[in-house]
Amino acid sequence: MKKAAFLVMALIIALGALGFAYAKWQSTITIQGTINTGTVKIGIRDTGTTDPPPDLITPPGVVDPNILPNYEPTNGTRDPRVDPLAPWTAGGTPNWVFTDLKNVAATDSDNPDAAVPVCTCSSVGYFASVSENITNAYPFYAPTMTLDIAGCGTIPVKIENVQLTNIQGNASILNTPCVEWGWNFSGVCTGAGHGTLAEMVQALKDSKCQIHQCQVLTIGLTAVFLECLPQSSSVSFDIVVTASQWNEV
Amino acid sequence: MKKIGLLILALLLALGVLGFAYAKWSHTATLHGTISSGDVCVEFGHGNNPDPCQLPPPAPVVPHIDLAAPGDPFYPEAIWHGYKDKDVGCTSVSGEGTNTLLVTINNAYPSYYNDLEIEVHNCGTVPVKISSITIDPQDFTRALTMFNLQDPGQIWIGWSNGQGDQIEPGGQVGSSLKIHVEQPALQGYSYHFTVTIVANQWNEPV
Repeated sequence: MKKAAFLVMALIIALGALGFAYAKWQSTITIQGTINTGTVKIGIRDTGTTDPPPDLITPPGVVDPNILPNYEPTNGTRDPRVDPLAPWTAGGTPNWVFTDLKNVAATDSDNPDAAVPVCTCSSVGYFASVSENITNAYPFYAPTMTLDIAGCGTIPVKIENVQLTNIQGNASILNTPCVEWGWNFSGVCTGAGHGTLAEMVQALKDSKCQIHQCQVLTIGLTAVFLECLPQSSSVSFDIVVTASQWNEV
Repeated sequence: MKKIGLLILALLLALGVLGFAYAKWSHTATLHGTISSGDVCVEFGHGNNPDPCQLPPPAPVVPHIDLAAPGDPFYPEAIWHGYKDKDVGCTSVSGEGTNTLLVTINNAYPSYYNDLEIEVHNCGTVPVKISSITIDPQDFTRALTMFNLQDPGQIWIGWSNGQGDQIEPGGQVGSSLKIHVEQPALQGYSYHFTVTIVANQWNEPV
């Protein structure tokens, strides 16, 4: 008798459960979410130097018109240099002289190490790196290089770190140039100073300049080699610029 | 004797039945019944999106810029509900008035944050209760906490309010869908997720 009652009870519960499952009405709605992330990238470009190659050496016996008094030299005709008799003082505008010195030293022009730019803005390519080679330098030789760092990603970036690395060769050369530098980002982030190359790197790092997509931070860099520059010596180095998303630096 | 009695009884019963059928007066009344069932229906209403991709015309007075997330170590706590100083990422929401809401965040970056108000509207005739809300990341790991660099999750998604709420016909309840992009998120990538909201008729257990 007990067994039968139990069986009936179980049947009722089972049917009840079945009835409940079928009796419930429900409606379902769905949110379909997509999160598209942006990109953080920068590119660099050498936009020029005051002394691009090739070097122009006037053959012996040929009169060089550039030696005429008050002649304003143009790029590629003579070396930019400071007057050794009125030495350039750090922090001041280089006291440029253009005597009859021929163009014997040169910095190179845009020389990206990759054929494919990181990005192109207004038909101008910006690359992962550029090479600056100063050859045949001598005391008081004072070339100026101009570099553009562009925001290549969709997220604004800030300069987070600048490192002077991979120094190979005679590192003492890096202490002989007194460097005059300045940078400008749309007049919003500007800086200028003088000192060693390492000090310039630190100053640029401290600038925290912010760059938006396809906007450009222009850096002007003048290296003035002093008398203690060793002869027949060379050094190579990398300046690595790291930029991070603007809201985290 | 017994047999005769039984025969008489059967005859009486048969005649009685026959007699009853013919003798009964009858009248019929009919109840015409109609049962119109109700409708359990929910849809998305119009919620608030603090960081839309398109500016409503005319240009808003409030700057249209990205939200900062609560607890952002790079943003003072006191003003976190304010805005960052740029408009870089944005969120588009479409599908209001339907049962599928499309939420798309564009140009997101670590620490991009948005807090969307999600309105669930009862478009039926029967009160409903929200019985379940399920967040399903399709191609990423959901971060357990925000700003935790040890957390491998790429996206943090939070949901608040709504579960168990009863919505009367024509009424709606608001919930909050919070999204925060974490450090492990990849650049130039698309992450997808779904949020499924199930509403049952009000009188059934949720």
